Amino acid sequence: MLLELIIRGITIGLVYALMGVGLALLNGVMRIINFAHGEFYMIGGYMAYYASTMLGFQFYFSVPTAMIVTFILGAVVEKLLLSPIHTQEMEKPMDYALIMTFGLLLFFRQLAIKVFGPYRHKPADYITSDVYILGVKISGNEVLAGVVSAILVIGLAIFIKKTWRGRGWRATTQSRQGAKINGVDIGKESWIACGVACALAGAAGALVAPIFTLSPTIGGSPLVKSYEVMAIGGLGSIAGSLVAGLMLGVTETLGAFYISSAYKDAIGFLMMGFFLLFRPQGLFGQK
Amino acid sequence: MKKNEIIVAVTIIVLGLIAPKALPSVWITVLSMAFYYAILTIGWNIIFGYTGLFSYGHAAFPAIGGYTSALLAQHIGLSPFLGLVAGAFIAGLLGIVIGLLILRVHGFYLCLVTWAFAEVVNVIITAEHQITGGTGGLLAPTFFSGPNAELFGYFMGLGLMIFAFLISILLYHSRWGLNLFAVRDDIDAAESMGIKTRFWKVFGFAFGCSLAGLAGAYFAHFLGLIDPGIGGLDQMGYVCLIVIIGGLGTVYGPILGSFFVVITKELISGYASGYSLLIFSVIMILAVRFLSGGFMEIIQVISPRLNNRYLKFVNK
Amino acid sequence: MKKSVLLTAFIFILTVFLPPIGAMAGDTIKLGVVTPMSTGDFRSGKINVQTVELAVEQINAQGGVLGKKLEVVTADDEGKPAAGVIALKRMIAKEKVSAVVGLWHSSVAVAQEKVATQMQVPMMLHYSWTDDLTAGHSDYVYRVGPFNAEIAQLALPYIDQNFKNIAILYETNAFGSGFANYLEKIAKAKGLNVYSIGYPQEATDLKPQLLQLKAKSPKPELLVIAAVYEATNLIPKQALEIGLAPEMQILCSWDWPTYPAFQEILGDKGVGVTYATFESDKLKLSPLGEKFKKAYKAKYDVDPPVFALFLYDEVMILAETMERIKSSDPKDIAAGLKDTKFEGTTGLITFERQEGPGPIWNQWMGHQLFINKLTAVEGKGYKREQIYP
Repeated sequence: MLLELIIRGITIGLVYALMGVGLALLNGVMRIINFAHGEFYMIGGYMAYYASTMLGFQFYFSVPTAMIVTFILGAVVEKLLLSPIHTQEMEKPMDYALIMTFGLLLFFRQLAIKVFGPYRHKPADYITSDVYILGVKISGNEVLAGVVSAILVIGLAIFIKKTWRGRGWRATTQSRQGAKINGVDIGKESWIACGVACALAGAAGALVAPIFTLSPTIGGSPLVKSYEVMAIGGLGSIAGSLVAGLMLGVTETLGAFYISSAYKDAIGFLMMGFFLLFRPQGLFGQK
Repeated sequence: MKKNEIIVAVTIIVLGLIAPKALPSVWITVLSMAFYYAILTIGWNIIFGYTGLFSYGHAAFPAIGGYTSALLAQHIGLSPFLGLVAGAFIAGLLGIVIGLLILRVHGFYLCLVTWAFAEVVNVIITAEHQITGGTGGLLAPTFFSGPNAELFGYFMGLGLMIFAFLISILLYHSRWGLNLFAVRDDIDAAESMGIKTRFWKVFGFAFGCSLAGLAGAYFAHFLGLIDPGIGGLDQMGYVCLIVIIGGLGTVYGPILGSFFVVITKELISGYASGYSLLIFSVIMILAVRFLSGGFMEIIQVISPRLNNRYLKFVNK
Repeated sequence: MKKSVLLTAFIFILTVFLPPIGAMAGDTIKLGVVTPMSTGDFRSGKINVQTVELAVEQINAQGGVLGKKLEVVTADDEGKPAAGVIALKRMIAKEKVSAVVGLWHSSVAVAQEKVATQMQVPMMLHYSWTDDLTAGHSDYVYRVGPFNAEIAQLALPYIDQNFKNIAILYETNAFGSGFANYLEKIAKAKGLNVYSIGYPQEATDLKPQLLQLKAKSPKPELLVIAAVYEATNLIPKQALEIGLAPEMQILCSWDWPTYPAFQEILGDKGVGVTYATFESDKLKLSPLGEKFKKAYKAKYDVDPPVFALFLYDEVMILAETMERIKSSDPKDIAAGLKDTKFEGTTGLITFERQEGPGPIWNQWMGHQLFINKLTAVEGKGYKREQIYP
């Protein structure tokens, strides 16, 4: 049983990491909180559903489709609604973002209810067979979700380390002024980073859509998990998000089994609260 | 207390007394909900508007206050009126505890920690369903029974709202209030002036939470039930929306905003009930994007002369 | 300065007086339907509305009630107790309905019952299962549908005959907790081993609870699901995913597997799932029932689930009661319903009262329980077979 729990925990932990990494990126480059992050997860899921069900795409197109749509959406949202943060040199950008992104959360969720309908949908399975890992039966979808999540997270890490743009983002995370002096166009990088972050969230949503099924309100839980991962792993740290995601996934699964399934969600919150209070920089983040 | 504030308070009382006679009876329920939101938001206004702490867990405190009162009524037969006190007290107590915990965090982190707290409260409420009735909620005795129960409950709410309003005004003009504003505006300067910022942070936080607890207990005994939805994230969103629309940090903001939001929601529900949240979210986004002073800025935009009058009125 | 105050007050009054001051009382008798329409179990809510509209259509086609047309007024209770209470208060105060039907979620109905009793408007329950609704002995609550204790008692022989170890997964609200607690009590009394786990009604990830069941020893042979929100379809799906089912049989506490959503989520993996219901191919519907079933199918293109039959009965009973007592006043209707003797769709309906504490008050006791099993996928649904009695 323990082995099964750990493997399940790792699988879901990788998806948590994917969600958290996007948020960490957004927070690092733009220095804001984004309550609508979970809604991009939801939109990504629906895009995958429509891609495979309505347009008949093969499964390997579903996730990229979702990512493209959420990237564009994220970039547009940033340009229209979040850019005042750096163009207007706001006194309290955080407060602005807190309320604005909350408005976006409500907006996307309600819009989804109207446009997609309040029904629960399930896109076709990406992989219909089950896989056996170390004797534990896991559905093919779950394995795919975990593997692709890991690939995306590592891919992002490589991007940040090796490319010019990625280095620019890292610089912005460390010091906005310094980055500006070195020629980073904060405005442009903001919308690109925002787009990428949303695309990652959309990917997560698309990957788990056949597992958790879709409804307009599914954005709530991933939002929360993203913040937990970010708080535990540390702002702007990709390695942190990966480790934190796995930690969260495994701890949750074990805790839910051995302690209480009713309190499963509290585990993440308590971990987050603990880190925020006693080690705000998380595991690997910088202050 | 400034003269104008007295006038506003009296106006509200008078309108509140006339309304049940003048309006169809369904408005009694609706306005009572506005009273609930007003008290709740006055509390948050003190936490964020006065003290500068962006608490995203505010919705947990009406839940705490309401469930405390309902459970005490259920288990020891506590009267709903005393339940109000109990709810406010326990919420305030927890406010002090959480307030002490969050002394170490600011801004963004503060927001997350308070949010985490609220969610933990929600998990506890749904997990301990044997005690709390779980997701189905808990029934609570109403303030009054008999044919006019709702009307008296309405007056109860009116009274509580005026009470909260008056307290918030007193706080605004007092030395205590000045301390809170100092903490909000420049904490280092406040420290250097000898203000015990840590104490005032906790004070402001707990004060607001206590009012929220009061609101929650009122909710429970007015409607006769309480359910976990009261502590949900969309309730927090309503509070933010109300404060944005009404004007942050002012004394009138919470009340103006609450009435506007609740009444508008009711009017919309007649025509397009499912769209109210959608419309509100759009309003919220646009308002935050283009106006940050709530009604004040709207007035500024519409007519400078009216704005001058309004400014004079508010600052006299 | 005073002008600003007056201006504010004026705007306030204006916004409040602006809403249409209610339509003038017309020549119709209003029937209120308060049911989840946007959130909660809105799928069932939609069926509720459709059923009532069909019934009212038929009644009006035959001349209406007391010479007037029946009018349906709907309100969305969102599946939440607070919203439900406000929706009901608003409906009674604004629309002056003669009676309210269509209430659905037990926890919401329990709160609404207090309102109905206080405002003296009768409400009829067709599928809200919690015992508490009638245990309050209100004169304004009448239930044509079944209740938890009754259902558990009727299902027990099937369970006892076939299984020794069972698990119950239930929503922690009035319906789920009531059903699970009662079933656990009577099953244990018969010597069965029972694992009972509750979960919050809106939960969508039930794997933690299911994993706990998987690790139990002795293993549960049957899983009884008491759910009405999204978990209805997700629990069987997740049970299959973690390998708990199909070795462990699944018994759904009501007939949601007949909804299209079940097939969409489970597909052919749904074959083998069983569910409890109150009508069956083997049960002869009365002529009224047959007529209703045909009319519903013709108008809405699907078969009506069993609770629609109960709801239909309720509307018919209300019409008949009003004709009988020659009044559409809510208080009179509440009193008049007591003497109902109506040939319903599934049997003769009368309302029983048992003195002393208990849920048998204004309650119809004529239900028969059947257990069906899904045997094969058929079109958008499944073929089914009655396996009990």
